[in-house]
Amino acid sequence: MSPKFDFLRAFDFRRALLPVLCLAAISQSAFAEEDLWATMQKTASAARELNYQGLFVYHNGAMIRSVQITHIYEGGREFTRNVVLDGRPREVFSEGDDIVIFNAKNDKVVIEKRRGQNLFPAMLPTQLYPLKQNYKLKFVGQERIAGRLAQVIDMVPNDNLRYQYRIWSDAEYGLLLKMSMLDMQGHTLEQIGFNQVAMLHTKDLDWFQPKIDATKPYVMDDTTDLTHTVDNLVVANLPAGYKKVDQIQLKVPGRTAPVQQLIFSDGLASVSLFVEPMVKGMQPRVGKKTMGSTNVYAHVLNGYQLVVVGEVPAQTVEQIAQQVTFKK
Amino acid sequence: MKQQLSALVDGEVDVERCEHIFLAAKSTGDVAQAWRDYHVIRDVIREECWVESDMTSRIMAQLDDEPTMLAPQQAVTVSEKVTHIRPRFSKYSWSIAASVAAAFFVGMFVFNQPEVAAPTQIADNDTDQYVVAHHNYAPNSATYYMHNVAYNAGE
Repeated sequence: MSPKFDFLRAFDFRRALLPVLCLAAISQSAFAEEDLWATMQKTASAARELNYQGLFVYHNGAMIRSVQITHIYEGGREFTRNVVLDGRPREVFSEGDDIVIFNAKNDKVVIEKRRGQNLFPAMLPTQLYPLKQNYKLKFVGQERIAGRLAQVIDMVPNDNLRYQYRIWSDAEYGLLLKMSMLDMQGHTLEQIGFNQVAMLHTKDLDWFQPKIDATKPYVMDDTTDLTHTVDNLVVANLPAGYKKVDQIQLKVPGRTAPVQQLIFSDGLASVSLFVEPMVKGMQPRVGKKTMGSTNVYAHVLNGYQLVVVGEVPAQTVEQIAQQVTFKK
Repeated sequence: MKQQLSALVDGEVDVERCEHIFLAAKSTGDVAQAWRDYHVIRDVIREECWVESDMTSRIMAQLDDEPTMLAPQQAVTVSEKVTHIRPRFSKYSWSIAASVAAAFFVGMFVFNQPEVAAPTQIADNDTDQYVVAHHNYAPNSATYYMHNVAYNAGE
């Protein structure tokens, strides 16, 4: 065997293999993205279907709140108790979509009712389809969070109409251990994550009751009408990927007409549009403002005050405000 | 139906698990009204709770006329462990009273802040109540834990 022959053989082999390697690389990345979406699906379900107890911390700018959570999934129903440990005493109870809050304010405890919200760690919607339209997934690596090994995945937005998110999903159980929201420059806007978490092996629900302060009166909040309403309001071209998910009306004391609140979402980020008729003596609000991850845009149209608020880039709230029209 | 409710409120029937916490929140109309009435009566008798309503003052007035001595019971706290799987209703009476009331009075939303003219830039507190309402009702939760301190701090 001559050295020349050897060289040619090796050369041919590599040329033949190159396209194969390329194909393998492409299918590998396609497979990886599918794999990551499967992890996301597991993460979305785990928060709802597992039994766990833990302590998580929420950061937003200088604001820090510690919250103790207990979650049980029993007979197809979800029970959660969140106790906010910093600041004013506040307890949040939820069973499925029903949320009741006990909120200590000075000399009394105010009881509020809320509609279904994606409370941590159940931040991801169970229907991932809208997210798939608006975000790409990127595997970052593995990290240890709250004593657990986590898969780290970036949710990179397809455009600049939404922020980027990073999630830490428990490598074994799929529970969301941590989540952060980043702006276009990669600065963390807000972050929420477990300091400590443990799986529960009990199905007892004896913890599912508020801690009562017998010295304080318990009063209810009113004025918000959670009935869904429809009117002549049209938002012609919503920013790409956003859909209207709800519309409620708020009865504001001292105002003759209710304030309409329309809620839009891309599956993760949400934006509210408030619409109220301008009446005599009402100062119009016009302009914009940024508060941490929240952007606000106010605007007056056809005798209506419009205010758009959301944890989305300034461009997105502005675009929604500019697209409002009223049907004749 | 009202008799059943009365029995339930008085702790005469077992309530399966914790369904009752949200039962009231889900019910509407006459049933919900009956729930509230029974709870106001019971709470007043036990002196556990004070709910400002015509109902309360009416019952208070009636109680004043009653010769009977009523011993107030201690409020249930979390430190009292309920060990059996199907707890007696009375252990949860507070939650029920709360959620019954929740069915009727929902949310707090006040727009009565000072109005400042700001042609291009919104003043610091001008839209805070909108931000609070957004955090309360939009399906976005992280900001949720801080709203009452961040935006109602000056109340």
